[in-house]
Amino acid sequence: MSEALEAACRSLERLLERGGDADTLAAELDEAGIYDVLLLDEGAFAMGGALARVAARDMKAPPLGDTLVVRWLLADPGRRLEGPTPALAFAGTPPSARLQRRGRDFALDGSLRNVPWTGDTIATVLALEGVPHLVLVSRLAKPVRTWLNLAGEVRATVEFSGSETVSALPLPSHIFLDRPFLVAAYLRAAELLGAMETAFSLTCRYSGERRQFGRPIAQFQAVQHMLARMAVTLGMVRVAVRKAGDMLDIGDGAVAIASAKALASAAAQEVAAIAHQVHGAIGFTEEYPLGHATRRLWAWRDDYGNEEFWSQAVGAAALYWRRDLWEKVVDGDERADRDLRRILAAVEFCP
Amino acid sequence: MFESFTIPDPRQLVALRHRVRRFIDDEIAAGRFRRGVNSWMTWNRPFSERCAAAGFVGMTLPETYGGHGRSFLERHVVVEELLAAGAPLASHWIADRQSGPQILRHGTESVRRRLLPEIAAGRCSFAIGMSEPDVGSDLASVKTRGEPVEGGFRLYGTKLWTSNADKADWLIALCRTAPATENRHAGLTQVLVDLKRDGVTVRPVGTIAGETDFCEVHFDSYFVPHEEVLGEAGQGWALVMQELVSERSGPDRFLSTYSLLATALEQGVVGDDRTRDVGRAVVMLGALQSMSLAVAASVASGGSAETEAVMVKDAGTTFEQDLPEIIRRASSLRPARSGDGLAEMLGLSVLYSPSFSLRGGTREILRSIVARGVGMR
Repeated sequence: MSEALEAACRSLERLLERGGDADTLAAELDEAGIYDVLLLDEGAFAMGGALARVAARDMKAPPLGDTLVVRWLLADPGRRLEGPTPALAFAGTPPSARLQRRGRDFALDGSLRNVPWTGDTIATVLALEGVPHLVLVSRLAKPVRTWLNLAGEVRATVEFSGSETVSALPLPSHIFLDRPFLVAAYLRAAELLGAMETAFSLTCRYSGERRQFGRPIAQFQAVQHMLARMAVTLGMVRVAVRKAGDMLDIGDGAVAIASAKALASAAAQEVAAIAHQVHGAIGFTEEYPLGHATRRLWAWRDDYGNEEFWSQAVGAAALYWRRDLWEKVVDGDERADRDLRRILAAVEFCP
Repeated sequence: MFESFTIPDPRQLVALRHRVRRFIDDEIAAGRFRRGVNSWMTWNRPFSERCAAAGFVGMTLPETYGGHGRSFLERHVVVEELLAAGAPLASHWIADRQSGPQILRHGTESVRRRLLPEIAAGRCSFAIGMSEPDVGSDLASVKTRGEPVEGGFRLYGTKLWTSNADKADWLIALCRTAPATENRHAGLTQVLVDLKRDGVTVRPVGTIAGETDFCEVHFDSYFVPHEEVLGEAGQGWALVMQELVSERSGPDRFLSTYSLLATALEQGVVGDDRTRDVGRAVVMLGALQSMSLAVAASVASGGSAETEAVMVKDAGTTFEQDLPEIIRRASSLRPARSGDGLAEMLGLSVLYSPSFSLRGGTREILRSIVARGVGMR
């Protein structure tokens, strides 16, 4: 599997290097099969995480993770819509939006927050009569309130009037209600990792080139230790994201995903801070590339649950497991994942 | 930096974990030990012998030398389970972790036949003879000297901070047997020292934690026969670097204070309003366990993981130091130095905490090693 994974990462890198406008790039990625990797029979999630991470290292390409999730949920090629992939959003806990039947059609009421706004179709996951559904909404009736997150990405609060165009498809039975959210969180952790890697490699290169007091600043022990801290943090996130992908390919992966996202979100600040500190003023400018990576870190760390949300869930699980904590953490037993998912369903979450 | 490291599938290791847990359950049920912090420093020779009889000591030593011919990964998993249980491992700890493997690699055949079966049986304890009064991080500057004499060397000098040397049987000492050249690493030799023979005296050194697990070891004309030299004379630097990799690649560098978390949860002393603090700690625990396991898997398959092992130690010892603070702030416990409950365990953890980032390589040295490992030196 890892050879195929390596090859896929390299081919994605080549496509990204070619650049071009967003639509052309999207078409090329689609044609290369990259958008459908979560539908692979084996190692789909390890592959998805690896590709999302590679894409996130590139500072111009839009994040890949959400697209992978929507394609995975759509699954059947016959269900695909014309035009760009719908934007992915979740309703949180308790859900801020509700799906209802209206004769042979569907309607939505409530709202969705922090939607990556494309002005087009939105995809979300809601339960109807106990069955998880993939819900696609377009032709919104009410005006949408947009804002810019720190990475300059448009986000929206979308309110439903009941007259939008809504289609709803039951998810395949092996995809339980919270799995799409878990997968999205995992991919966002992989993207945080990619942005961290860019910040790290820029920092290594800069400190090796920038000279003060007659030598590269990388020769000062203080700087070396800052780089070491960054490297250790990066290594930790790298391993945690890999583990989450492995566990997702085996089962629910909830415990591993919670850990990976909590770590990645928490690591974002340390990595961004050290990167800027080593770079000095030049790193603080718009034209130098570091800010593109660090602004993504500051924006993405709060998507799909930040370190507070996931630590709360893991902590509640630990307080429940008590003396069983060690084996729940290390055995890879799916009962640990089920416990965490049950706890997650009760932790308040507002996207 | 972990890029090509795989994390072993946990399901394949569960059967082995269960074997260790059954052994631990029996030991606890029979009242033979109580869970503790820093348990790899807790001396219990009878426990080590029973642990060895259960097949958990000398696991990676070949069966021809009394070992079990198991993989480095399997040993790692067993040690994880023993440490997570807070079991008293000190009396076989150093021998099992590094001295035995070092003797296997570099000892003469007669030394291997004499000592390895005893190590695997949990009956032969070792100490580490590296640090000296004037030598800590700068190990190449050791002043203990081995004067060439007929048949071997005579040792003169002093080792310091030697954990449990007052209880151990043997020690592996790094000494200088030939003057340094431009290469300050040349002329060093590792030798075996039988702590019961003439010419070596041991004095325990008290610590602020109220224990005497540090020692001073003084050599005054201690005779080392050639057959008790490890490897070739003058090759000691390369040997001691290998020994340090063994020392740094294990799971002990994040589990020293785990018993505190386990016991705090068991006794329900953490308030609900501190759930997030516990969550953060558990997330870190899982991350360190995955990293440490990935290092072990890499070493087991013949890879080198020197930088990664050091990274795990750096992050791990920070976690070990943070955990007592997390428990103290999340509960209403007052750390104590008397009694034998959770408050005392917390007290011991707080007192020991400075030592975690000092022993086995101080944090600042480790960070310089990491910086070099990522190409910045």
